[in-house]
Amino acid sequence: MSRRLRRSHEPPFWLLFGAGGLLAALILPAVVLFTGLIAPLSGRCGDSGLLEHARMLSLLSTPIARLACAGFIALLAWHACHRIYHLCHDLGLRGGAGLRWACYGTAALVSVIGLVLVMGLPHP
Amino acid sequence: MSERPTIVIEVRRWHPDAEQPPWWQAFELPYREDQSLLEALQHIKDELDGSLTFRWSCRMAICGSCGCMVDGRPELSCHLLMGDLAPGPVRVEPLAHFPVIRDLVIDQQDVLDKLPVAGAYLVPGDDTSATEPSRQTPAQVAEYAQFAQCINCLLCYSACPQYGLKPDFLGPAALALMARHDADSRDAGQAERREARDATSGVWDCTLVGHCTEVCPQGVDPARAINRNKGASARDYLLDLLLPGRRR
Ligand code: SF4
Ligand code: FES
Repeated sequence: MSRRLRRSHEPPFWLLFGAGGLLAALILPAVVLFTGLIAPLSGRCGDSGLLEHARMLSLLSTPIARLACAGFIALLAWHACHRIYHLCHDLGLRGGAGLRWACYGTAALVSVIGLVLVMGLPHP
Repeated sequence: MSERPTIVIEVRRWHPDAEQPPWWQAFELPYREDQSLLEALQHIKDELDGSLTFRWSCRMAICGSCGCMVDGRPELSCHLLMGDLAPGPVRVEPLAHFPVIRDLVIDQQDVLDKLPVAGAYLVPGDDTSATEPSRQTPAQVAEYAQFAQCINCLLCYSACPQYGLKPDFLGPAALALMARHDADSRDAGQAERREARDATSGVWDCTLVGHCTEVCPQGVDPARAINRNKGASARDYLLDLLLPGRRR
């Protein structure tokens, strides 16, 4: 039996995946419910100010809030890309290093773009 | 007395010296509701075709010999009642992901080789007495008792799609036994098991499909054992990164 026990470098990716999964399970449904259903419906019922631009900006007025928002976006991206990477493997697609770079590269790119956009929002 | 009902059992057969690929053979036989599938297979062997080959021993779901695929799902044939399988037909195949020796008999050597790699045995510590018993509290036993119920039936290996894709994967039962010994207060082998645990073919080839836990006849829950160790492995990875020289 020849079996090399190579140490896996999966742990950091798995931790990001796990953190993103927690947020996706706990917070994302509330965000979808709020932005996709409650806010538009409340607009129809007369209160159109719930998702107003100025209100949203004031929500993100402190650096901490902005960092949290950028972190939320980043972790969801790492979660999704890690899932897609393993899904490809499960479907029998042997992408090798190229697939790994494509998946985790996308997650890194989304994280950076999210950070730049959120931090660069105008202050109210 | 009324006639006993009959059922059709289709068995996937293969003989090494038959010069043909595996074939399906259907047998129609009388059955009783409270008869096990193993007994039905024995009826086939005794009455219909003596060349049908399969393993069994205890007939009570404890030796782990009689595993096979039943309608696509890994099962112990002695643990299934014909009443639950009726009206059939029932399809019986050798356990998935293993080389077939003959008919329903598979070659388990790969898993037997992996048990020592996973450190699936108790490693005595320096303070373990050779003459005195090592006593444990009920709480210490509860730490590992569930993982110690494994009967090496290998149903979980047939259930695991990752083992099918990556034959190097140590697999559910070996990793559950790793966790079982790591959690034993009498054991001092955690450090020895780390290399296998942290390897790609250790806990990290698992993607938490969880089918191993569903098919296990002993309630071992290998998926939980593996994911507990993923947390420990990730912790050690970060600590090794932050504290150079911590390992090796
Ligand atoms: S963990 Fe369960 S399914 Fe796997 S070999 Fe042990 S008893 Fe069988
Ligand atoms: S014959 Fe022993 S487990 Fe089925």
